[in-house]
Amino acid sequence: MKKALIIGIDHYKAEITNLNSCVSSAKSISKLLSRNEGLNATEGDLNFDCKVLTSSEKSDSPQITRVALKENCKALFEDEEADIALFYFSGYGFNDQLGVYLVTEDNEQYDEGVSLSDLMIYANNSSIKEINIILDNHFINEYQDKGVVENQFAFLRKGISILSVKNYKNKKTNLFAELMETTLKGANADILGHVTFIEIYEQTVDILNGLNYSVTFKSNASRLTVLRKTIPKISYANLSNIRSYFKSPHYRFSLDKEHIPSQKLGKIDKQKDYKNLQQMVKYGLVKPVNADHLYYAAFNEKHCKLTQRGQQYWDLLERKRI
Amino acid sequence: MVKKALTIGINHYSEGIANMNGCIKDAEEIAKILSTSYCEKKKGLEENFSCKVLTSNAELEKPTITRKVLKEEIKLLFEDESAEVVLFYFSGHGFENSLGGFLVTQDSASYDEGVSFNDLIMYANNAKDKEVFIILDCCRSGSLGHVAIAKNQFANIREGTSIMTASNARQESWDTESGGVFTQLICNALKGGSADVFGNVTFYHLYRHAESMLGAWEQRPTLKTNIKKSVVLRHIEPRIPLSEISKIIDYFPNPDNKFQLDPAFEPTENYEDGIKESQFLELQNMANNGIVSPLDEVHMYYAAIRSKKCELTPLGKKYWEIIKREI
Repeated sequence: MKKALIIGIDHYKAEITNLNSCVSSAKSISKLLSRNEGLNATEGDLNFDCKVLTSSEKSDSPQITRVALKENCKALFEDEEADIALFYFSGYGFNDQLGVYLVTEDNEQYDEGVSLSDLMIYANNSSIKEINIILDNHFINEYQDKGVVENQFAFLRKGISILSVKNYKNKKTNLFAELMETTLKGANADILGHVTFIEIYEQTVDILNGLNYSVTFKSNASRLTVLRKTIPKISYANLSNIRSYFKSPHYRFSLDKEHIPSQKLGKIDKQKDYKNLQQMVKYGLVKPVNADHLYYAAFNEKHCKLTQRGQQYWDLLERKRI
Repeated sequence: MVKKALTIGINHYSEGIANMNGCIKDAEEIAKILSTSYCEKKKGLEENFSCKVLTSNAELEKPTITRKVLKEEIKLLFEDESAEVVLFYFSGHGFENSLGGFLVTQDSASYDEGVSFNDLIMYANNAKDKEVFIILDCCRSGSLGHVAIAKNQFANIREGTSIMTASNARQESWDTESGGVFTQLICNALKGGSADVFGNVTFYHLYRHAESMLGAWEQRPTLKTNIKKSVVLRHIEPRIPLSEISKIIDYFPNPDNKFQLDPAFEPTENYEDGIKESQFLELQNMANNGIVSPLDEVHMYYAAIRSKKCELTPLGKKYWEIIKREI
């Protein structure tokens, strides 16, 4: 079982400027996490069981209070059944000598919200094997490295990964959430369409670090949790052809004119192989030898071979890891 | 950026400890691969890590990699003021007792097994102004970074440090004639099996590669990390050359622009328009790598045939920003 608690807070008390993208980010991220991608842009099978809590302008009393957030965090992590837990928070962050706080709607001085120390105690004491925490904070004040958890050192139980994004200036948009959504949609997923925590980090760190954001990644992991499955770029059926076309990782596959459909030489099987190989070329698994294009390699009766990436998938298939 | 690596391979141990087979080869191969990187300007390899390789030697009477030697070398590596990135690699025996884990040295003796993980992590945690990477291919290596005093499950590492180990704290890692299974996976990943579109190989790519290759019944590699920036350990030839990716600012003068296609772009339509056809090849390559996507069509081919447009994906827009900023 996979469960996720997803929080987005835009609406704060009068003294604090409201944010305007956290609620929508939380909603779209939970939509993406709750189902894998299905064929032809339909919704795929169930993924995370998401609980979404967002602030609302309409309600008179604050919804996401310190008490409510803490209670929900406890409910997320104190769980005997779940295999994977994910926590996402988008909203203000506050920082003082005591550490970092996830600022709740009912924040007051000396009572800013739920402290990260508390969150980490829940997480470190949880019996859930894998815990992924994503903190996407607009900081009220300048961030300083202090406090027990958010200091220079990472003190993590096995199975916990934390991605923490701090943003000081930009209150209008939420670039990190946008990038995370792109990643969850499969923008830089592997050929099999799997998105893990590492893809989200990789996708965001370079861009955000240049733009007044600070991104920290802390992890103590012995496996990579697949957060979402998107449609593979190549079907498994075709991917597994790698093993029949290439007898070894360095094998060269001979091509000739019979492979080319437009030559109309009537070899249906070879034309089918050629189509499959073209798809492998497209995604960087196969490349023609001594020719710019697969077409010319076939036309001039040359070869094609596996790229490094192709060899990796050959190996994965050999090890029955796909 | 100055990068330094220390790679250690120990095949030969004192009596009572079984010799290893592939550790020397592992240390040499890792160093060989790390020492070069692909340079786009030169269209070839250039210098990367400056590597120091220490291996055991059966022909010498005295052991070369003793506890003292290893400790000194580790200290020198992590205290090196000129280096901005340092990488430590060890292939050999690992040992664990109630005090924690050890990198077993050639002169190991009972109650004096080698360099303790605690010492290694102390040196690493005290390293200043540099990114530290540690890769251990030895048995029971997963406890590195754990706090021996606290509960053993916890990791405590300084910012800027990343550790990858061949197996978790309770497992044996395999050593074969042709090298350790884990190290072979790392080598393949460094050679480019897991690089991104730009040809960058980072520490995470190595982990993702090794992790994906090993199943539930095999050794479980572990990752412990605490970092703020991503360090490229090595470049390989990119799937799209940078010169080609940077053309997105020509195709799309503004990130929200749409690029109009027509049948003349598609070579099989026989319009013989060389410029459009080569542009289309580039755009297709971008589409294959998630940078560009056709509007209202599934494939670029149909977008061209039916005179539709193509646009930058959200990922493409981010690349657009980076390219605009950096070039």
